[in-house]
Amino acid sequence: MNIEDRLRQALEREAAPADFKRKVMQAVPAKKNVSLFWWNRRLSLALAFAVVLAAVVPAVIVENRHRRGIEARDQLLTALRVTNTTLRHTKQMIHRNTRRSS
Amino acid sequence: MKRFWLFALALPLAAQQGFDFKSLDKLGANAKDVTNITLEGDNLKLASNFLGSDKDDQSLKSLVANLKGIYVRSWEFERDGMYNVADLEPFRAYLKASQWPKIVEVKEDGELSEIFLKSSDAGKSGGVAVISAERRELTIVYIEGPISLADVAKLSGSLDIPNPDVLKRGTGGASKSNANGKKDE
Amino acid sequence: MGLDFARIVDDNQSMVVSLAKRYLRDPETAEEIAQDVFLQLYRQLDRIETPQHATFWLRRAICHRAIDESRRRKLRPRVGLENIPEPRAEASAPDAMLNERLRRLVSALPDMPRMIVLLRYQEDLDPSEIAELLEMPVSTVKSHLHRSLAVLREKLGRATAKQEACS
Repeated sequence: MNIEDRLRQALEREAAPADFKRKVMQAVPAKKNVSLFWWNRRLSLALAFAVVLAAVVPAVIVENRHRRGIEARDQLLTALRVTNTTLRHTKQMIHRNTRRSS
Repeated sequence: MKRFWLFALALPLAAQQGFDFKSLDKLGANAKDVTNITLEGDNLKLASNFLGSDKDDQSLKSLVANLKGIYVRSWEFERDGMYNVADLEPFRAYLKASQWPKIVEVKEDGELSEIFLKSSDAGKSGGVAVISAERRELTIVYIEGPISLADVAKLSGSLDIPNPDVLKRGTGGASKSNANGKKDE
Repeated sequence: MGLDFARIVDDNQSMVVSLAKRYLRDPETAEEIAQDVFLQLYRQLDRIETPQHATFWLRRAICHRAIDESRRRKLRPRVGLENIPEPRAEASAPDAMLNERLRRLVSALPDMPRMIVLLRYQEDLDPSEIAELLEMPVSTVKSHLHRSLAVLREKLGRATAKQEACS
């Protein structure tokens, strides 16, 4: 069996614990209670939008930088792993050559 | 051949400007998979800043701290003979012109591996380059910046996937189900 | 027509819990975030159009939550491969032991390759679907898969050879 088939076999999904669904359903609210005290609908929506924008925009900027940093880090790790694999392959070739000639 | 020599003459100037990896793009014309990584300047610093605080990550951080750039090109092919090793000559010529002597060359069963180390002072080299030409995979690694031979040894040895943890509570192993059908790649 | 949330839980709990457990290697935390993800879905149920949409949404949510949780808690493993205890008595057939060993090797992969391997071989997603889910280029996904398979192949070979030498 090749490694991919072996992985598919080893990584077949497990069943969730028997009480998992019960815990989820218990945590779900029985009824959504939404009550709003309406003042001026347009004003309250505009205020809400402004508050969200003020909160979200810096968060988006930070989130973007975070995302770029994670991507760059992942690229760095990939580059170093490729280097590692390549150098180890070279080492193995040298060892085999050395054994043959000794 | 003439074009090659003209290119080689132009190299001493080009060597000061860094290697243009786009000139190697033709190597991947028939590749089924391409890995293309360029990390330099701010991007490299950013990447390093996002490494963690554990021992392995700190070790990597100190390794890359002073590097100028890391460049990886790797091509994977369906069959043997789908790339021309001669297309690597511009890169080799650049390394030679920039004083990166070849310190290792090993051939086996039609495969070739070369390691180049850039000369520098103070016990560190100015960079390391590796060419690994296998039957169906070609890889070039070019790391520029102060890197010691110990770091190179680390890169070829202890830098590995993280060691596995002991699973504290086991993996369950209850009856398995797979609702989705198989998909082909 | 509203979707049946209980039915969605039934159909997807195995997928969500398996992904979280295998990725985080911490069953308690995995179950907690799996429950959270279903509750998140419940709060947005009116935006979910079909059961397939729910599955896609849940898969994406659990992937991102698990990755964030792992980064937050730094759950990267520390113990050497040689120190992994022998599998439990009930998993004594050679195939079962090999599968167990392979699962542990997968659990040792770095964050992103580990998730990509799980999505490919547990969830049977192809690289373009994985790329869409994790918001990264397809070439990066393929590169991670290629490297991970090479490492897993090598490590599995070494671990198996070691075991045969000792038995």
